[in-house]
Amino acid sequence: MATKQKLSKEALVIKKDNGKDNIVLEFGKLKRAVLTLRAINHPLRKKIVSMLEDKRKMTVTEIYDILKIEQSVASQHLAILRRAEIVTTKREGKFIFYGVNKKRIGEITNIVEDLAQKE
Amino acid sequence: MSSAANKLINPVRLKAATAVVRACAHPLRLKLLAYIHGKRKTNVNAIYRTLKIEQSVTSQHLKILREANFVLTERDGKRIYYTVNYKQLKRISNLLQKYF
Repeated sequence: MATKQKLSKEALVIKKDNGKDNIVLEFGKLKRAVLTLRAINHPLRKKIVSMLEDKRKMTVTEIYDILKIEQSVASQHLAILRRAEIVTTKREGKFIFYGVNKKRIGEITNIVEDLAQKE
Repeated sequence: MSSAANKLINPVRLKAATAVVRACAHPLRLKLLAYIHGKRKTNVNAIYRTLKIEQSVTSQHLKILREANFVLTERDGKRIYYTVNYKQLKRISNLLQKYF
């Protein structure tokens, strides 16, 4: 049974009697979780991820040419995907190539499946 | 769309998952959870009086927590009592530690 609780701006900590089973919800991590799920939940960003999965690596120029969007728009969405670790960047000479982070996409799939279950 | 990501990440479940995380990624709702946990079992009147939040605001946030399964309700006569659903909190806590 629960006994003590502590709430700071940074986290909700629920302490249990045995001290082993503490529940910690860090606000920073919650925010990151929200940003990650929101990053993938967007039509244009889904399109970018699909393209990168098909072509393996692309420059920002290739991406905005194919999607017929402004470079600034493409860069903005790529930044959101990069912060969520859904895409990675790699410099080769003077080009920066974007690619998908398959491991992270697999993890996000697990997170979504886990959270979407009722019990 | 034919890609693996879009096949794997089902849009309906993504929406449901996002709602769950957003429900607890909110300072006031975390405060409500902490308060209910401290009391073990409480009702909406005690919550809004103690935390000095408007009743309508309190009810609104409790609804979000209930829909995301973070609190459980039981009726005792006219009153509805809230308890923390530790199982759901533990689930989120585990995911946060593992992936973020």
